[in-house]
Amino acid sequence: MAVTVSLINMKGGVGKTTLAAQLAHAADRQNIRTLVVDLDPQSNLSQAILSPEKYVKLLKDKKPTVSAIFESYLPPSNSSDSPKPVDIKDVIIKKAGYWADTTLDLIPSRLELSHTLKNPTSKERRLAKALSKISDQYDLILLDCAPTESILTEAAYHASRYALVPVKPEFMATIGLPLLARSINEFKYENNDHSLDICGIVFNHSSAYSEGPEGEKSIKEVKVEAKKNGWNIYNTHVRYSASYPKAAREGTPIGSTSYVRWEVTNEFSTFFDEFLKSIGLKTIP
Amino acid sequence: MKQTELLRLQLAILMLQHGERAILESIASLRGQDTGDLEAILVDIDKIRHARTKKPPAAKTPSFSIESVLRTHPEKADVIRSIQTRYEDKAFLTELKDVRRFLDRHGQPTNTLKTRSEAFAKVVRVLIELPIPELEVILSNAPSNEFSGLGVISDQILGRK
Repeated sequence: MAVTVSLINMKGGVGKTTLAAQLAHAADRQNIRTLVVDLDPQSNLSQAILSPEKYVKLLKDKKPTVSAIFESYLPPSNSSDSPKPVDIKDVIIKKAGYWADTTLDLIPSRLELSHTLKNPTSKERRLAKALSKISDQYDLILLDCAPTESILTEAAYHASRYALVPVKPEFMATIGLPLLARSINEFKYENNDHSLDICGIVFNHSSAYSEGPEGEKSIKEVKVEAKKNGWNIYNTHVRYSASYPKAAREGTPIGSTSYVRWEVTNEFSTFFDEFLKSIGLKTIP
Repeated sequence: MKQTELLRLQLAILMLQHGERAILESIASLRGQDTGDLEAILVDIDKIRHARTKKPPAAKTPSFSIESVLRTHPEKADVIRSIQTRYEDKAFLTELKDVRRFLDRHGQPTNTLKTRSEAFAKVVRVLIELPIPELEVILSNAPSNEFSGLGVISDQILGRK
């Protein structure tokens, strides 16, 4: 049975999507059966995993996306003259990863997911219900969330056992952390049969600016907050490297990105091991 | 810092301050030796080190023959020859970085690749293991050297053809 983890922070630009894509590739490399779900209408995770070219082909072919799960039907298409009930298997893109022998699957997103945001009534449990039908086929399910509290965030909570929180060590970015904590606490209060925990906070230096004194000050402040609330902070920081945006453009794992420095690959690999331990997963040889 | 590293650092500083010749003369004097004897010992050490690190002459790699690879899977010969033509016309894996990526995706080491033309031997060995439908997809794909990630997505979002 899969462990489901949402990458979430109420602040945008902290590197959630880049981290989600790289975690997915790292898990795939280690033969961990992984499904990634893009829950952001901007669809950047889908583009980073598939590459823009393949993503556009998916749109042109009118393949169903995560939006169909929330709306509970597939619209009429070339292969069907009337709406059809949606099966989650119709929405999964198999073998979406980088390597030729990949087992990484993807549920992509598209801009039309914003319709769900506009009409959210009673849709918050549909993703969890759909995932429950296939969760025994995976070891890890990663959900990449949009950075605002919405039906999509709530859907991610309903489906998740853990929340992984990337934090950019800058003052304004760290404010997203207490907002997220409040949001999770409210969810747990309303759903007291549901176990949802923060598996850890990772300092994600998504820009070179966060590595100076301001960054250090923010790190200290987050550590104090984390201690007060009993949150785990990962020892390994994901430091800024120009190879991360390049990996997103090329649709590659960080270690396969052209001209990547060895220490960048090594650092991410160390963080990945720490992350796996925090959710009780082990590398599969 | 290890003892040997510390010693090397101290010696480097001394050599900078006094020069190599002065250091040698001082060591020779301390050991009661002639400077020439000490220099001869150093030359011998250098010769031994050089002999150890000298690489054996590289063995000549046999020239690659696509026919010998194709003989193992004759049913794929035609499609792979067509892919070879596309490769030579730079319509498939147009740059060395594309070749590296292709081989990396198929779990092949890429760090020794120097030129695109030399790399074809490795590419063929990967191609021969792929099923025919996958080879046909490779053959039908358009070259993507003019590819712009933003451009294709922008065109799609804005409904441009």
